[in-house]
Amino acid sequence: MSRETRLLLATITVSAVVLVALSRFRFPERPAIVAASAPPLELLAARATYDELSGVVATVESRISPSLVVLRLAPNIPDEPRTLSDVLGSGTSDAAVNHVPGLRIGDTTAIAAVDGDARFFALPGDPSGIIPQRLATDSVRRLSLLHVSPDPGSRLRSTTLGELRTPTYVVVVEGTRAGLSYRPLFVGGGDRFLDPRWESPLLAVGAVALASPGSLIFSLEGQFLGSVVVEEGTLAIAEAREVVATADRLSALGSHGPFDAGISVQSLTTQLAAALGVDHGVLIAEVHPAGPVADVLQSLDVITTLNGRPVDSVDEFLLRLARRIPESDVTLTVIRDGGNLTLSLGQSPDAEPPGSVPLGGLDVTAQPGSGTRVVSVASGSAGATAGLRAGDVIRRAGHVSQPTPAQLAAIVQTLAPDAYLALTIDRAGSQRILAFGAIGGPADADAPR
Amino acid sequence: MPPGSWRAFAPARHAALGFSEHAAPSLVFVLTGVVLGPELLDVLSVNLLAQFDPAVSVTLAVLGIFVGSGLSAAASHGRVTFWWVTGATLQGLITFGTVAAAMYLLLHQWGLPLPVDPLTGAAVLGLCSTVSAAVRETGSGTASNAARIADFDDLLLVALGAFAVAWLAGWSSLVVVVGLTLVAGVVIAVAGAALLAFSGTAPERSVFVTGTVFLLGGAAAYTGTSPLVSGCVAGLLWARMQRSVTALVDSDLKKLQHPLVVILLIIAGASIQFTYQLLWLAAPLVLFRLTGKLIGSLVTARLFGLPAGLLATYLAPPGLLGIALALNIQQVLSTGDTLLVSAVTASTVAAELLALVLVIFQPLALSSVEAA
Repeated sequence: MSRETRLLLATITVSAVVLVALSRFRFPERPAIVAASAPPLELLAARATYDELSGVVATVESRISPSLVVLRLAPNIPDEPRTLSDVLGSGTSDAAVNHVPGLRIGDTTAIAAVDGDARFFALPGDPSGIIPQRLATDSVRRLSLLHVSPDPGSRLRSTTLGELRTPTYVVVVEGTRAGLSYRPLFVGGGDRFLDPRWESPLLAVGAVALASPGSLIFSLEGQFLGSVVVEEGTLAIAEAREVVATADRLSALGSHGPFDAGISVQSLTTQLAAALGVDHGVLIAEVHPAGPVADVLQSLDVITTLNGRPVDSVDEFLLRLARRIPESDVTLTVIRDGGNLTLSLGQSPDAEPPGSVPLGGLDVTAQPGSGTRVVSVASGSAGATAGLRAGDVIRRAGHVSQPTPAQLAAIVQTLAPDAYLALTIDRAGSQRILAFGAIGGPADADAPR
Repeated sequence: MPPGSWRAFAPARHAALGFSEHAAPSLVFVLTGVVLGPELLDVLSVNLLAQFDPAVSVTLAVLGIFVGSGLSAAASHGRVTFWWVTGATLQGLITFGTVAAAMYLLLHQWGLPLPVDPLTGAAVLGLCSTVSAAVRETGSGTASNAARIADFDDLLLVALGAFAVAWLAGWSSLVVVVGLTLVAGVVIAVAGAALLAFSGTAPERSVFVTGTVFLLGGAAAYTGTSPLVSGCVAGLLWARMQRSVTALVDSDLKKLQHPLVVILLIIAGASIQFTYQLLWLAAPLVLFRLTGKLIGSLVTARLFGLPAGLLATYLAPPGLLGIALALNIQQVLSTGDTLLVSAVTASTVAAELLALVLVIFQPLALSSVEAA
């Protein structure tokens, strides 16, 4: 064997030994190393990046501001007329006042994250003095369609919808007393989760990152990306197309409350699952005989899917069912007596609350000697918009004193779409006058000034 | 050191430093890329590097053309026989097998995170390790024969690289895709030659050559195939055409080659991410590449009657095509994890330095030359 052959064989042997030795190791899982301080060049680059980001936000602001409106509302401020003690009382504390950005959908309409019976107020310094009016509310998603002051320069329809792809920087728009606030926000690759109130997954974001629910999110190119919502205590971003779809639906249908199927549902325990021979779903405990699904569902039915998606919990099922819009169909996969059924709920016969159609969402009863007493007011209805509350006594409707419910219904039904009816009411011994608009959503867009 | 031995090893020493006729000084430019890259000055940021993707494809096409034209020219002069190509392929396969097997064993045992599965990663690393630095050695002595074996191991990388790129690009029928790559190379080369035949002035000709090369690289990048193969086919075809056309193409391509190769090396250097994974991967890669080349030298030298030590000194310096192929694979992977490119580039630089040491201090080689 020559010298060079021996040397080559020795090299091969050494390599084999090294190979065997190295193969005994495992690559360690190392935590990411965070530099204690950035190098000077990196800091300079970062400064330039921040400057560039500020410029981008300023550009986006000028582009999207015509599409936005700020809303001032306060759920706790007592009704007018008010006295000085009311103004100085706790009801007018700064904490009670909320400012929310609204996204203009039409020339005089906007969508905003406004829920419940919060009352709107004119913005201080707003020359128009127009008070926004709630036209319709989606109480499941807690979004409202509002009548806002017309802005000839608004070009909301030109605002395109975008899809939020993370990680990225976005522009978050918040409402403040001084108007709208724009600031950049980094949205990391947070997890998305499904919420029964929304069709598409929501993007979870850190609680510190966003100031308030209802903020609007735009891309650095000015595309509308979504709205900040709170679902089960988690701040998240709902997709833009769902927000706009909700606005379109509210425009077309007006207010619609959550769909109540008239059923009681309970979780499927292990024992119940074994007894019924199923492995997942929710159990129908009771079906109200007068409910809209009385002829479709029955007690002991196990719902496994709703519109093709599995049903895993009672809350999720009820919320997804409540999200149903009046004209839509709902398809359920039901296990009944061990067999699979596919059932369709069809159109709900009582999607609108009883009595709401002729009297703008009011349930009223006669109060002899006084007029008509309001028993209940549907949320988001014309009655609620006018400021009526349960317990109010309507003493005068227009020129008719002490109207009966039938008289009131007749007056309301003859009311023109853009007309208003002055109602004199008695509330807890105090008399006040309210303006009652025509029934429905988009038709009563022009509020009294 | 005996008189004359230094001169006898000059080509191998040049190759080790990257200063050969077909190779830029890789060490210098790779280090330049490292300094300018995201890891240090960040002049060549990640976003900026992404803009250089077309340059990588075009450079690969140019390198492929030189491989093809070199093969054709050597064959036409009777200096290349089937046996030399066989020897080059044999030692390349031995290197490929050695590196791939060793790296697969290590990657499998280590559980080291890679942008591809361990088998594919080991195969890519093995393939990029097969190539040796090109050395222009005229004459017909022992050293010349060893240099030719080192030269023609490019063919193995070009051929297997075509399949690797098509596989990683997600093509299902690899043979069909490689066949289409060959056809595309032929079509573009013929079109380019037809344009050149009608070109009247030197600037006009340069535009046509440049356009054809860009088309070769761009078409391959668009279809997720290997620009090296397209370029190699075009190089073979042009070399077989009229001598005037071949000479014109060669002179114009040489103007393109050096700037593009410099860009390629700087991009490779800037792509290096200094991580623990790189350390784990690059160090054994250098060792097992050297081992593979030494085994390949031993076997091939026995078959062809060459001194094994001498052949090893020619095979040890790594070539640029390994880095080029790694960048090509990085392109088709479309991932921000540049571990494979980093490992190939870092190991190439380390292997260059190791080869230089081997050339200077290899007593076996000296004795072999004296004997020759």
